[in-house]
Amino acid sequence: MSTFAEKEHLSPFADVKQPAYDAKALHIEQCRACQCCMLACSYHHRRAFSPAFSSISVTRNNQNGIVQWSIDSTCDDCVGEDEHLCAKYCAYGVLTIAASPAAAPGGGEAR
Amino acid sequence: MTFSDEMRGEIQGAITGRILRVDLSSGSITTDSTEQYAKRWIGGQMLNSWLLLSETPPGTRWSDPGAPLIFGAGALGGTLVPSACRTSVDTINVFSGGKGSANMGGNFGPMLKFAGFDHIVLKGKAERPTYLWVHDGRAELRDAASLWGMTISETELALRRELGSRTLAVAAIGPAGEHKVKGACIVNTGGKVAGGSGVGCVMGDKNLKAIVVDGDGVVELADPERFMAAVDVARRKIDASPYSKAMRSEGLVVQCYLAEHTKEYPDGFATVRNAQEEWWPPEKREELCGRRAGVPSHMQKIFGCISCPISCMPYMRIDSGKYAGMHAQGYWCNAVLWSQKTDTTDPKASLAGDLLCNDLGLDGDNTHVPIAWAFEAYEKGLLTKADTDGLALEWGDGDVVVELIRKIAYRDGFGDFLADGVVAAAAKLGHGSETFATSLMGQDTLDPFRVAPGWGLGVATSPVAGRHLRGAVYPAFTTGPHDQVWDDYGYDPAIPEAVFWMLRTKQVEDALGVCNYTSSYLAAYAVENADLAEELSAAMGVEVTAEELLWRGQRGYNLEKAFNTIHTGWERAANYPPVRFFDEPITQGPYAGRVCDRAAWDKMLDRFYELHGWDKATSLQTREVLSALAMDDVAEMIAATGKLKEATVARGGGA
Repeated sequence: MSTFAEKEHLSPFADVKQPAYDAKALHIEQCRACQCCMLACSYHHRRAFSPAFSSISVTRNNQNGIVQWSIDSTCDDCVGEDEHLCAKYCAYGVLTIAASPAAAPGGGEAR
Repeated sequence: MTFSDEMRGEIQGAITGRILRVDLSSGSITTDSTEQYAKRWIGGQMLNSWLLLSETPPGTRWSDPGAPLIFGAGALGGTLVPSACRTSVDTINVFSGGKGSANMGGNFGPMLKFAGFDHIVLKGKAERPTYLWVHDGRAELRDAASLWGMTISETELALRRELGSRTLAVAAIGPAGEHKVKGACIVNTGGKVAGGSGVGCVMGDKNLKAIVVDGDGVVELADPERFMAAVDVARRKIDASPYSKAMRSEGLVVQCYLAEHTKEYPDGFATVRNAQEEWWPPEKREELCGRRAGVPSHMQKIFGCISCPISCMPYMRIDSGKYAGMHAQGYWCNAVLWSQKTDTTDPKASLAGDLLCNDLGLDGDNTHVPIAWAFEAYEKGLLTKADTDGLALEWGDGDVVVELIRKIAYRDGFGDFLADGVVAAAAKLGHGSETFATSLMGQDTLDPFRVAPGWGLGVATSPVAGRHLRGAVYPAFTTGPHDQVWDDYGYDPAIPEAVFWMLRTKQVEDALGVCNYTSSYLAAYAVENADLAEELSAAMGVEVTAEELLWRGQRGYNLEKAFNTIHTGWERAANYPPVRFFDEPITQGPYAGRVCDRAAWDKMLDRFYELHGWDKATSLQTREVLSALAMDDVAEMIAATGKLKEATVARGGGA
């Protein structure tokens, strides 16, 4: 029998909300590697632009034309924004997200 | 209305604030502040132009160690402003000795800013092959012996492996730049090219194989909320553009040249058989550009530059035939003109030639003009197989074009004869071949002049010598001011005004680093100067309007003009199309009989100089206009050469 306490012991992240982000919503074949999602994500985190402060990484292999897209654990599901910024600024329908971002703690103001 | 020399407000964002200065001779690397220049010249190409003008002593040649080679990210590069991806490369034009400037998309400029710098000023010459590695606010020169001889794609891959980063951007020269071929270009992001003016030739002369940029820096915003609101307005305009949807689904560039899309890419816009004609039969266009078997059928996917919501660059693959296995980003609208130059309809050869130019580091315009000239010389019997390494230069033979591209890049045999441009080749050959060498101010020109005067005027007056991105307009509704209409095919009096608007707007876009495909030119044709003014104000913390930006654009253009006045002997006579376009009428198609009209050109140029406030007789700048543009220091530089006019004087008639 598993208790809540045990679960927490097993994983320190057990009650951290996982992003609504769903890999099934990623239509990578439509990606043009424009990195708008990457830039928009860093705007969410820092109100500035930087690949280093983005949860998203987009790389393309110029040798074979293959695009690789990834998102890491720093994604907070665009908490506090009106919509997911990565999806909002994707012009190519690569990212479609059904859920709305959670309101920010303490009144839903953008950070 | 006049504005002040410096933009109002305090710079609080958009730029990194640092310029990297590298002396390749001594190996010294220093930094400089961007801010001291940015309030006057914004950034990108305009700021580059100022650095080039103020740091190039009169008499400096492109091959002198003192010749600067300057890379500049646009002021809005690295932000989410739609298509703010452009990088300007400025130096002395290897063809003309005047202003050299080439502009590229890709990720280089934005990554340069994330690496901690807005501009890179290179001077001197490295003793041995070298590359520059710029990352996280630091820079070092490294040995490039193992890279020398590599093509662009090989170089990029080798550097990625050597430096171990997935995000870095590489701007490199290929074998053409190494061999100081005058038409050599600089390529970044697997096929985004800074071509024209021989910028790759200068880089090769400096023994600099590549510049690699990468970093975790941050591009800050003065007013983030206001900035994103401005971005959203611009994005909505692009989304609402009637062109956007088709472009996104099929690729912007491919849309421009699909055989059936003649409205977007009108007839009468071709220089067929070395500009003997300006019309190409539809069946030839179908063969080259048909959806089923033409070049578009080779498209695998489309790539966009960083921050671009429209995307234009097709990724191509050739699966069968002689060029099977070639694959890369490439094939521009211009490539259709290149093919028409030699009457080539074979899509595979045309595509292979384009991909090869990109990989060997050759500008397509500067390569295909001498090739087409050689074809015509061969047709006229001035060249024979004994001169051409046994190649038969017969119209329509695309395989020979591909072979000549390779030969030019390596200065191999007959390629060496063509590698210094069409003017040099015609001077060597003589026998009247100069009359069909299409060039302006020493540089090969690809462009048509007889049918569309708005295009011709922009090309002929370009301060970067015979290129079409300094004011050319054609057709109306997809270039030039959004609310102005003119007759594309006649000498409409509105044309000089449209060109004057276009050239100022282009300076603004190049300073901000915004691609003209989302704003003033073809493609989306959506974002306007007012949008750019709002984006710049919110990002940088200055306060500018559309009107002020246009005024600043005029300043930028005058910087380039001043460089030419100081470093060359060009006056009014340099601004007429090549003689062929006046002397030889088109013989085929709907525009048969058309030829450039000298009296009409006289009038267009009169009006053009009048709009600029320049002296009509000579085209030289006046103290009056430079003073009104708050460029008194530039006026003094020109005055020192004795070529400054005090004020415009009334002048009637033609040249």
